[in-house]
Amino acid sequence: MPQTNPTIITQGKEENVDKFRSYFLSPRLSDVIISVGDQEFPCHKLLLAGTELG
Amino acid sequence: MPQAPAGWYRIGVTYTSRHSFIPSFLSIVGSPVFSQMFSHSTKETVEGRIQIQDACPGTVAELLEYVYTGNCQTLRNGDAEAVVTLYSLADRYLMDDLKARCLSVQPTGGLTQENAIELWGKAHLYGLLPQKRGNLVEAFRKFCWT
Repeated sequence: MPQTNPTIITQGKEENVDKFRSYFLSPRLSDVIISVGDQEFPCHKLLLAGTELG
Repeated sequence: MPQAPAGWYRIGVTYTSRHSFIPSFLSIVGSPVFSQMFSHSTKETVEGRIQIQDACPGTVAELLEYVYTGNCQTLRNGDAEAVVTLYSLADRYLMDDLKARCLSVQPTGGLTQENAIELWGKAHLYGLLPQKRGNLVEAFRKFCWT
């Protein structure tokens, strides 16, 4: 079976994905805490809001 | 794959031929509810704390994993009950992309004779049925009506 590259839609256009990489973000840079019951998750507004913020 | 330092978040980044890189959170994910919250002087913004009620910490952790990386364990595992619960949280925060991903999951487990009716009821409650289409909904139909 022929293999096809994964694609992603950006700005209405479909593009081939060349590769994925991971970067890391420290919780010390968090600017908001999400609390659920007795658990807390330090988070980052920019990521929670996605493209909508600003 | 490199491991994140303890307590740090992994951010998925997608490289394409046209863009040098697209952080997953800038391309598809995020919540308009959080966006509106942070755009105004709400109590949450001032205090820097968001209290989520009526949700399981594990489900919130899954939603956050999706926000940070564009994927999460629930979507990978395909446990029907976990997917329905995640869908309900995604619906609450108007995360249409995550809802669509939940609907496309082919359940691999978690649907049993004991919990099928309860899950069917939850799915109705969250608006997942009957108007939606997708692997998850089809699995419910097959399981409950055959």
